Amino acid sequence: MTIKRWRPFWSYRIEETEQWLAEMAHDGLQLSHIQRFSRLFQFEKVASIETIYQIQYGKSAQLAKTLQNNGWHEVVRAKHWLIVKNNHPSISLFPSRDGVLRRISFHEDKWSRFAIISAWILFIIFMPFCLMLFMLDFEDLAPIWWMIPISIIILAVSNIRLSFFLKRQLKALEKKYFNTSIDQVQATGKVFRKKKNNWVYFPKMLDKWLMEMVAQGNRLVKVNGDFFIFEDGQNEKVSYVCEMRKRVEPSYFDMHKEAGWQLKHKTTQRFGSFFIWAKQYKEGETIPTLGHDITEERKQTFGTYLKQSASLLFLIVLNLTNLLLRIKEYKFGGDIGDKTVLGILAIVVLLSVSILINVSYKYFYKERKLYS
Amino acid sequence: MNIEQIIKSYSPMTETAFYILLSLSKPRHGYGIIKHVEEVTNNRLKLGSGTIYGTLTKMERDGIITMYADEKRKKIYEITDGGKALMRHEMKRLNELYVNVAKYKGAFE
Repeated sequence: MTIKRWRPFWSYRIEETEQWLAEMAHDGLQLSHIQRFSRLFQFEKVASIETIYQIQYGKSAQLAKTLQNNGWHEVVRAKHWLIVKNNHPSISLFPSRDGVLRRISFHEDKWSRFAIISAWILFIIFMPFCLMLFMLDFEDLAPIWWMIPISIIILAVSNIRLSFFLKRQLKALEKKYFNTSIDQVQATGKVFRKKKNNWVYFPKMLDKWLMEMVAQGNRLVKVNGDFFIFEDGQNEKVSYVCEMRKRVEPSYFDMHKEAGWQLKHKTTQRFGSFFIWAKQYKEGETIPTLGHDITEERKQTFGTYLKQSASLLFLIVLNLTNLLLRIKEYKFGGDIGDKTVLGILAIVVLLSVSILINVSYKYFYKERKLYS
Repeated sequence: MNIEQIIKSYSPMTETAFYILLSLSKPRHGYGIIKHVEEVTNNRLKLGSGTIYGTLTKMERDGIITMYADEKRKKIYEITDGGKALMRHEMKRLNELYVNVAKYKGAFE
């Protein structure tokens, strides 16, 4: 006998779905097929059995030989999805969660962008819609005039809710299966802080500075935005590596941590994620590095510099055009409001130009030299 | 990727990729691979975790290796049939190199 069950959002509710499949097996319903687009799960009525299910995802998702020898076997394959099960009472090896997490992370990234757009739409449509309701005689309006805004509002709210839901799912999986947390250090001595502006754009300069600081006995405790908190008087040899990554795989953190690196800081900004890693070494040993390709690293840093300078340049052109147009129309002896706007615009343009010059100088004359 | 595509894309292999796959003669953790490569090359080749991470990620995407987790959720890497076919092809190529080195090395002494 075949039974079908509908399960929306199952690909985001991975652990819940696995648990549900196990409960179905306990009730004598064995999974036999999945209809991906309709979200329908097909079951066959069999004898009740205690089974553990696990869902895998990936273009090349396959069951390792060792896992097969451990009792895992394929139940359903649907495009990039692979559902496996194991009937053994004690299981010591489990399929990887990387593919599933990678997929949720990718979707979360995209949906969070939709959520931002949706929030803007809500702001633009919701406010005039509310005003319209109060100001106009509602009975005179054709249904289309209130149905369209309401549909858009429902869609926008759904987008925002889905984005938050994905964020929660992602955090829960990361917390349970991947060690992505910052390795906290308890300071016992005197602590002090130093400010380092725009440090994310100059990773090699930051490495050099942190290693100079530790050579002077100042160990990095933590980073709060642009502030670096150090502990005084810690005499140790530490290698620091700051790196920028557009996207990291779930195994990124485990790989470095297993090799003895400590995650000191992580931050996600407009142009990617930035990490600071630290590893102790002994006198006479080679300074440890993460071992990335230097050409690739330089390319990544240059990409970040280009994006940052392009956005600064856009800001300068925009404000400068505005300023020049206002100067052209300015009449001497005009009111104080005009003068204030002109002054603010001039300050913004000057500040942006000075930041652009400073960033370009640091990048071309200091940062790039450290890659040779 | 099928076996032909894997061979076309990976062969000739870089030294790093070759030694990583060689270390997977049995399933190993990421750090186990680093240590094994150091051992078989007498510490000549010291792979950073960044190098290993980049190479393993690409290999996993292309179906050359697969991974799973132990009870402590530590990741273990294992070579697939596609990966084994790639290694056989690469070893044959390197063997031809070795035979020719032995045959002609006298001419360069």
